[in-house]
Amino acid sequence: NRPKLETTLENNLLKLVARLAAKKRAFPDSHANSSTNFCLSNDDQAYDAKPFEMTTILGEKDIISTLPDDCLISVLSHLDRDSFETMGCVNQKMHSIASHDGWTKPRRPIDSIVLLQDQKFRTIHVNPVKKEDYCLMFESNSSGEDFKKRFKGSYDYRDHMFSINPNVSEIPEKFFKTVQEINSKHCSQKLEILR
Amino acid sequence: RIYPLMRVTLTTSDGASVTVSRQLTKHSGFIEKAITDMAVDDNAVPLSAVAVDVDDATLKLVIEWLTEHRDDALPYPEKTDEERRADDIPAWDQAFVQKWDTKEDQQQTLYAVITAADKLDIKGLLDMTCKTLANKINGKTVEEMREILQLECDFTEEELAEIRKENAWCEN
Repeated sequence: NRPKLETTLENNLLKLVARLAAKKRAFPDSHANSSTNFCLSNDDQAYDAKPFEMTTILGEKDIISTLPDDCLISVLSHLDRDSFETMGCVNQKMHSIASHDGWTKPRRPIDSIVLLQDQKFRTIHVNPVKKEDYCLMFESNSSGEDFKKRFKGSYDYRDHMFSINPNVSEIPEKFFKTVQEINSKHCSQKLEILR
Repeated sequence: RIYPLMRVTLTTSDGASVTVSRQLTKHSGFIEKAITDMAVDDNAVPLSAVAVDVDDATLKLVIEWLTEHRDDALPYPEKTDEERRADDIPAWDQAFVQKWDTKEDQQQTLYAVITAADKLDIKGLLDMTCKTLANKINGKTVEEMREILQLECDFTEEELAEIRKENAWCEN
């Protein structure tokens, strides 16, 4: 039921510019639904339209920036997921556009997300559909420290464990944000919670 | 109803004039609106004049594309997100782009045609040229993308490290 790009373009562009201006150079903490193709969602939240405030240092012959925004969005909407993410690393402007929350992106399929918690650690495991693909691991402690690992095959996460204060039971915000980030980029068949 | 015998004179941004059949201009939302706004009598088969903000060289390419696609169905079919793909460019269109989209040109003509298609509201041409540009970028590394798009990296070292850290973990 997602709206078509063309029909929502004008409204979304105003919102896009306003939101990007508000974000300036901050990195987003989440993405919209995440892969092969993209479109801007029809988000009804109201934003005050402001001029694009971000400054960019462009190449001498940079001409892609001269393209109208809707053309640029159309080009980006035809990129595959990996290329879209890579595009966000090209420069500030592309990063801001690619990071916009309004993009709806097909998510990468994964087998499962496993949340682990015991007295000493809190860990998120992301298991791939194919065993030869990467697993992801995130763990955090209540002191605000966190640790991310990307690996193939089996991995003993306890080797890289933080020691956390057992008297602090609060789960750090970064833990939840990471779950949100994973869920926005990956489509999991299973969610397991282990204690 | 479109009267194919009707002729439309297009005046370009650099002062040239090109006269084409209404059968071609019907694919341009901008020109059709301009003709409609003039309230000309189609039955009289008049010659209408429309100024377009496109240079002569680019307009000639646009007209070449329109001539090939003059019999395409209208309106241009809307694509859903799932249907939007970049690998379905017709063979004629691919050959058409390859004629002028050379390495030396560095996409300047492609950008000009994309912009013209946007200004003239020719959805089929806009879609095809945007796909062509997307295909140049798809599957490329960051450095290759910068080279293709002629963009400089303007991230600070800290920002770059942050992006690499995030991407290294959760992307690709």
